[in-house]
Amino acid sequence: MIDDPQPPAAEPDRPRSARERLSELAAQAALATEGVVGLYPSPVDVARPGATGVLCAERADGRYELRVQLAVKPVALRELGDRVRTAVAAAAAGDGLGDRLGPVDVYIRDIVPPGEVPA
Amino acid sequence: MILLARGLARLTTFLLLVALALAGAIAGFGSIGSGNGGVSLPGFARLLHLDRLEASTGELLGALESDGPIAILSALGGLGAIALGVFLLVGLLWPRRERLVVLRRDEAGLIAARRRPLGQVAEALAEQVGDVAAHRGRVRPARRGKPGGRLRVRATARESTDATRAAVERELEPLSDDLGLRTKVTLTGAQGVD
Repeated sequence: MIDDPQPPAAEPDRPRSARERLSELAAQAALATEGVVGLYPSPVDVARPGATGVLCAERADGRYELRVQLAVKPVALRELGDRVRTAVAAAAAGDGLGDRLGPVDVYIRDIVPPGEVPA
Repeated sequence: MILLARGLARLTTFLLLVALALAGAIAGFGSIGSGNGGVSLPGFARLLHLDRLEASTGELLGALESDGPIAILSALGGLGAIALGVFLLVGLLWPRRERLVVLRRDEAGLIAARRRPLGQVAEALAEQVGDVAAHRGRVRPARRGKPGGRLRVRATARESTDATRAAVERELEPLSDDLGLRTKVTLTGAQGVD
């Protein structure tokens, strides 16, 4: 099951935590990366429409560790992983959260053949 | 060891479920009739010679209660049964972790991929060579979370020649180079000649 690449649902009334913002930024940045077909939700992705497929955990040093789970096209996977990490870091820095971002793990959960629609 | 425990736990679970189903079926059939004969629980007990079994096990249980070598053996058997139970529990309860192929691990994080889609990509690449049908592409990650691993592809070709094998290996190079995998291609001729 793969999420469609769609923009996250905005909730303007509620101030969002750094964790939520980082998760959403990571989801957007990953989806915008060429070669990424979609985000792959994990079992804990309940009621998080904006960041499905992204796990975010706070570390002891106050930074947040991200895990981005992806369905991708059959491309050079290591380069793709690097591009996703770079895009996430750039998005976090652009939103003023660069110093809160810790390691970004990229998990490739599925590889979708060309012309095939993700299940 | 964990794999062995997991397999044994699965086999034991299956056998116990079969035994439970059989016992349930026998009890169900036995409950159909009443009285002591024919299709009834006492009838089944007589059919299975449970009275003789009770006599023989009674003697054995009596011997177990007394001191002597049989009591030591029974104690050892009990300890073995406890150890087997713990082993089965470990097999049942030990958390399963999916082994991922690590592509890169550094201070910026981890890049990893699942084995199954990588194997499917390997099969698709192998079939780019004419007359080759890939049966199975399997990726085994390196131990202890190190990057890389091994890629094994089994395929059939009309003629199993070194040239065909080399062609398959060439097709797999983009994947194996990208992921740091050592490749092994097992090619079988369509006539069953390797």
